[in-house]
Order: sequence, then structure tokens, then C-alpha cells
Amino acid sequence: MLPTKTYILTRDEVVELVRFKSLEQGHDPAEIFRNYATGDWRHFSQMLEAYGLCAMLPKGDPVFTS
Amino acid sequence: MTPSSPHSWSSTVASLRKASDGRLAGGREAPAHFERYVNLLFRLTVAHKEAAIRLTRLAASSPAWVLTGGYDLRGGNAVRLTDGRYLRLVALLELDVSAGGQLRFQALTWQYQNAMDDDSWVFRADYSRARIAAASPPRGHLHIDGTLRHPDVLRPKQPLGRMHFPCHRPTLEAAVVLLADEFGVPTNAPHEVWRAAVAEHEARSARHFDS
Repeated sequence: MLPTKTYILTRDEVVELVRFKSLEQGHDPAEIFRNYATGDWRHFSQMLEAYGLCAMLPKGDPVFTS
Repeated sequence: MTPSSPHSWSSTVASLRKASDGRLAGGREAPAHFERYVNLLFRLTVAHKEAAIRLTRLAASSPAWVLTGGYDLRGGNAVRLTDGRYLRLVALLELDVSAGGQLRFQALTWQYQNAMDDDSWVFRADYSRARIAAASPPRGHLHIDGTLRHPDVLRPKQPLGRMHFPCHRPTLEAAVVLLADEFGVPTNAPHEVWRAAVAEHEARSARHFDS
């Protein structure tokens, strides 16, 4: 077996991780949250983990509108 | 019996079959079975012994999971390969309630690259279940980073790497075959073992994509 790990995150940890992944790739986190909410998944391959984390959150989460 | 003899891989092949059945059964346990399936598939084939994958989910109920290469949550998404290069892997998984809780890819990307964290990539497959607009590229498509012998066929300022070659369903098994058979990435198990396993499971993996 390869090393594997399952991470179980809270809502706040997910939001923080999206922010981290966005800044790490040189993107404004607000832009990534907005892109996800509008279905405009630009930088698809580079940012897919961040979009996937967004998909864990409820569609009405305030992070998508703030 | 040598470590690389077909017989020494029989328990891995059996575990792969069990994990494959679990991922296809659907339900809340399917993502964990999928993680195990991917783990074993790569263990059997092109993963370096120090490669790792991770599955991330929300503590509260959520239909979405993210599977990526790498162990560290704040690290990259690359699976280390036996040839010293990397396969960047990110899969967004969801349980499709309209299909009895079957596990589906909402989105998927895998990219063969020269180093852990730079843009020296060779090829990449992308898949997105949703099509954003009529002008969107095919749901499944392949990118290749390179140059053409006849570059004048490309539009101005359009590098080859940004062209979308349709590829329908870019399964992980297809990635493994491409790496091993076409790019010569060494495999851990003998050819007859891993090839039989891929042949057994690849068609079943189509169920994770759009029909």
C-alpha cells in the first residue's frame, strides 16, 4: 500500500484551505470563491482542488457572496 | 518465488478487485473504497514506493469528496512515479443521488510532469461533468505540451498546450497504460499482472463518468 490519509475538515478549515491554495497559486481567494459559485472554473486544472473544496460547502455558504 | 513474480501480487490483485466492487456499489463508503482502489492501482503499476494519495471530506454531511496525489494537505497534488517524474492528480467525487448514490467524477485532472511543483508538464487530461457554455471544450479532453512540425496550423498566439483534444473518458487506468506502455514508466508488478487488472477494471470505471 502507498501511504494514504483521509482528512475530515470543518467548514472553517475548508474555507481556510481554499484561501491557502488560492494564494499559493497567485490567485485572489475571493475570485476563486466567486468563480466556483458562478460555475466559471477558470484555471481548471491548476485550481481544481480548491474548487473541489468549495463543492463540499453548502451552495448558500456566505463565503460565496461576501 | 521472487518479489516480482506474478504470484506475489495475487493478494494485491484480490484487494484491488474488492476495492473496485466497493467503489461501484455506491453509498457513503464508496469514496473510501475508491481511495483504496486508486492506491492499489498505482501500487500495482507506476507509483514510486514513496508516493501517496489523500482523500478530503467535510465533517458535516456533504456529497463531495476530493482525492488528490500527495500526503500533505497543504502540499502539492503529485503522485511520485517510478521514473522519477510525477503525475499530478485531482479528482472531485460526488455521490449521485439521482443514480442510487453511485460515485461520479464531477471533475478530474491528471498531468504527467517532470518535477513536483513546476509547469514542466508533458500531457494532461481534464474532465468536467458540467459544460459551462456551448463554447466549452469537450467534457473530456487532452492537452499536450510540445511543438508542431507545422506550427502554422495553430492560430496566432495559440500554443499547442492549450489545444483541447477530445478524449471522452480519461480514466485513471488509461493514464497508467499511457505512462507504462507509451512512455516506458516502469511498473511494479509484471506486465501480465497489471495489464490483466487494468483490463478487468477499466470498463467498469466508465460508470464514474457521464453516460
